[in-house]
Amino acid sequence: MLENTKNSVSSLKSSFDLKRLPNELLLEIVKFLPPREIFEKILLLSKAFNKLIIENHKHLRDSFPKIPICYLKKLPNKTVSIFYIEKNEVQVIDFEERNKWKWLFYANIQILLIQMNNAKIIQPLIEFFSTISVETVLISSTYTDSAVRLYTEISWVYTFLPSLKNHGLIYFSRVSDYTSIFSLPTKIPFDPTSLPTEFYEPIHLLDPIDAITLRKLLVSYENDEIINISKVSMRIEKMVLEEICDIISNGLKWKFERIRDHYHLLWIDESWENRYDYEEEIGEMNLKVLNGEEEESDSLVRLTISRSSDGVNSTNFQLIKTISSFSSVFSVM
Amino acid sequence: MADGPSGAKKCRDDDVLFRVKSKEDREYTLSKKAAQLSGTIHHYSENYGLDNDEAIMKMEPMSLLEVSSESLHHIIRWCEQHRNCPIWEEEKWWQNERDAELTKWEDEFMAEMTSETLYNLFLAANFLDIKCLLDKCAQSVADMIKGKSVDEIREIWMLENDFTPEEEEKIKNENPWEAILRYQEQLEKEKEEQASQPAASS
Repeated sequence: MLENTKNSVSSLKSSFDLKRLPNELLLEIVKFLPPREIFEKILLLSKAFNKLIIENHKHLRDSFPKIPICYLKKLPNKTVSIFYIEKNEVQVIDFEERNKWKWLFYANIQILLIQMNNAKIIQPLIEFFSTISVETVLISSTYTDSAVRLYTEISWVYTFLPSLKNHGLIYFSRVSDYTSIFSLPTKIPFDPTSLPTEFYEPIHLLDPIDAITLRKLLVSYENDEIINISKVSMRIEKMVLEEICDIISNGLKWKFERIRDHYHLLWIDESWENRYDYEEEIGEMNLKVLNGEEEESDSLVRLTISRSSDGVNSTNFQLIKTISSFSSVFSVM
Repeated sequence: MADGPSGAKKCRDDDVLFRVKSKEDREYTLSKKAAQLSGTIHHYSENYGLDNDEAIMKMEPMSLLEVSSESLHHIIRWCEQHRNCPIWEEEKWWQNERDAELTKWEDEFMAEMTSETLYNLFLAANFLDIKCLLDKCAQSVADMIKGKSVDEIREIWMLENDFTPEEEEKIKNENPWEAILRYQEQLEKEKEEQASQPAASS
């Protein structure tokens, strides 16, 4: 019935003379178009439309729903891709289609999560950063293994992301000797000794690609049948993105707010990892899923661990474990 | 004029009625609750002391010189149907929620509109400052071009391509920041020029 109604709408209104409308109403219409459509099509409609959008970019940007999180990473055997959720579905843009990235310029991205696992990712990132506006950047770097490289990366992030100067950057890295960075001739506005110890909370982010692998293994194990990998992958990506959003909003956001006024950078101490035996905890969690003891099998990707066993206050903080540990979990199982 | 989609709400006998008049001088009434959806009527009520039932019952009709009888008829139907809805958040329009039944009613309502009726309704909703209807009209016009090519959009929205092929190619390849920065620089320049003029003349 509803479909019929929609058809009748399109058949009745096959044309609409937009030239008669005042600019304020044109902007009302534009706000209902996906930002990508605006960049790729509306800017090209006419000189008047192009001028309208350029001159009202701020108003337009404010009128769009925010993209809560955008995940940028290099897929195995592929170039850099962007994952984000639109209309409740995970969308992927490949770097080869980099012109299509530009539409993100019109999108309000609250959190940009970058999985930096390859040096080749840097150049496209620079291009990407120079065109978008985000509130907070999270970088999870498995590639960065030295303080010098880390300093370089952070510097260019600041250089090329114009909006970041007023917002936050959180960096997750495998660099163990993080103190060395502060001996570098740096302008990074961060003094680790001035931070209360609670800001040293370690954070590890689930890697979606590894999560897909993990999920594939689990589904195969559970159903013993061939599955549609791409569908599962998309579902996993969506769940991971949503999970990260939850973590951010529930566990980390207050930290952003508290530090944002004073610090642009929150350093995460990798050595913290050694303080707790996560592999064991996560292993138990996975086993529960496999044994069907969890209510929802999808909860596998809700690999959050509350900090209850260590005696430290656990009420406000949750963790997602890096997937690198899961490989070992699987080998245990 | 048609009564509209099935299950449409109308004024009840015990409703306090607000009187309005179209540009053709035709009088209509709508319930006080429905009238409150309009920011324009709300301000009018404040300015003319229509803040209690007795004053509203004695009121002279409010002249809406920019709204046709046809548009006013549709607007009253819309407002009566939405009179019990939560306030429409214009700034975060995507967060507003409507139940499935009301959404269905709205879709059927918009399906009745021809291009000309929609155009007049859009302007009237803007004049009367009825946020939820304004957004619905805007969305209906936006939906017309979803998934269409640039040429198809121009045809649907009756726009002429006034770009040269070179200009079009430039826009396709340009980073939008560059255009915006150019615009901002131009604004800054104009501001500076304006600021320097009085100083120069004094």
